[in-house]
Amino acid sequence: MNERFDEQLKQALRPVDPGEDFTARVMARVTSNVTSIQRRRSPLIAVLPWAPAALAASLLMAIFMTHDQHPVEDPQAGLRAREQLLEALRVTSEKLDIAYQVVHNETHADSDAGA
Amino acid sequence: MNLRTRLAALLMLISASAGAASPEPKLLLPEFAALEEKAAEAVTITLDPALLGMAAKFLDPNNPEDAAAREVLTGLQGIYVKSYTFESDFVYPKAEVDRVRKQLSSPGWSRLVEVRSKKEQANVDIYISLDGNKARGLAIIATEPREFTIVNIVGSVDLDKLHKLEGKFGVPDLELERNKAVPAQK
Amino acid sequence: MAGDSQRSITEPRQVATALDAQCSNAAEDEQFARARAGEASAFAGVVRAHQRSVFSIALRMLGNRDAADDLAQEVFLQLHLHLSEIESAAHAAFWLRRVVTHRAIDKLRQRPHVDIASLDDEPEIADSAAPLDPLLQRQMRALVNELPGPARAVVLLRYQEDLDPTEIARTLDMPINTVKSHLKRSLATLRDRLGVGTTTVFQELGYE
Repeated sequence: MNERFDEQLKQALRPVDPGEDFTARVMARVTSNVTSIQRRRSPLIAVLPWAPAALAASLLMAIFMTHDQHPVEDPQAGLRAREQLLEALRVTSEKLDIAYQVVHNETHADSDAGA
Repeated sequence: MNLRTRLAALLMLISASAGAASPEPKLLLPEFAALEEKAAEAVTITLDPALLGMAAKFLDPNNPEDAAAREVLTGLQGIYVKSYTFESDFVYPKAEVDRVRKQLSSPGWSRLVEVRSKKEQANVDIYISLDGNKARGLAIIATEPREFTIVNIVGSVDLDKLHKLEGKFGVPDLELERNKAVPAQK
Repeated sequence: MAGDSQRSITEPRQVATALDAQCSNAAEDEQFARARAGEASAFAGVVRAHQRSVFSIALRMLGNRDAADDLAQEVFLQLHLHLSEIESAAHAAFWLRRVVTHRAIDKLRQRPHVDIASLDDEPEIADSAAPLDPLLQRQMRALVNELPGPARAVVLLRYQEDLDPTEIARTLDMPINTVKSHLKRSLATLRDRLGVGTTTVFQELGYE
């Protein structure tokens, strides 16, 4: 029975076509995007092609110089801690709900019996 | 008397009789190493104050799930979870679970709710550690034929906020969902 | 788009390497390499290869055909802009699924109410095999559409895309236990609402 349920769900969620002209519309946007990026190139870069590299180098220097003052926390560890926190709270609320549901159902049964 | 009223009445009774001794709200949870090998799924979460602080920094205030978590976090000093799921009924040793229950029978811990569901064979016990009128810890022991879970929360706990998380945490709000009809077909 | 709060999506190289090891389709990789080199027709081929998957994820997450079309187009546009960072056809498939689900979840958070009625417009899938139970399947789609965003994404990646929990975890940047938790509860909810029975199905799905 579970296999049949799974099969039904897979069939229910089979991918659907976006329409015949979807690819054409995407490519039209891609082409238009490429064209406008080329147009938006800064005149400064045309004159000073080394400007972006110089800017990047200055930024890197600024980062290294301030690094000692502001230790950077490991974002991966922080994100893992966040996921663990959410999972812990999810488990907790699920178990609390079991208790609430049973008590809630009993309360309703009591009032129905007393009515 | 609805659930909230019953809980509030119980809390008043407990606070009136609470003794001067307040045990450590952080439980000693066994390693359960042997159980990990038997379990189909094992979840172990240890969030001490430092990790909770780190997690808080990565919560996104624009994300409803994260915002709800942030509300609950206020005042918490630790969250510890051990949850095991098995492929057969009652393969986890009762003695292990009882060892944790024994810690919760010491003064300062009170059982707030004891639920026994015959239909699902699910048992849930919720304990609270009080210091005067203030909750300083929460423990939940939940057992089903193929799963047992222990949750220990250290710090000031808001049960209402914790319960309300359910609708925000990817778990459909069961009460709402049961009342919602499936859309009629054309 | 203005006002979107977008998740930052990192692309570790280890993921690309692992994916390369998993699936090597020479023709797809060759086409992808040509797309990376700037050949428009090759990129169009990449779009055609993945448009059903990307559009369907967007459609079932957002519940609205127009919004799904917009999102799917936007995702392919982003793919074109990031081609140099993507190393293979398999990596592109992973990248597309990841970006469309993350973007859809972000959009759902901004717009939590879904127009369920619009799902009635979902086209019947042209398939030589007759649907097992078309009415049940419509009900299933409606119920999936009621799941919260992250749970909905997990169910779609499992049942539409046929990913296993490890792949789903990688796609969504979600711990594997959270993925399994979402699957377990979502399936239980679907079964409960459809009156199919509430015995635990999770163990029978064979996830270790």
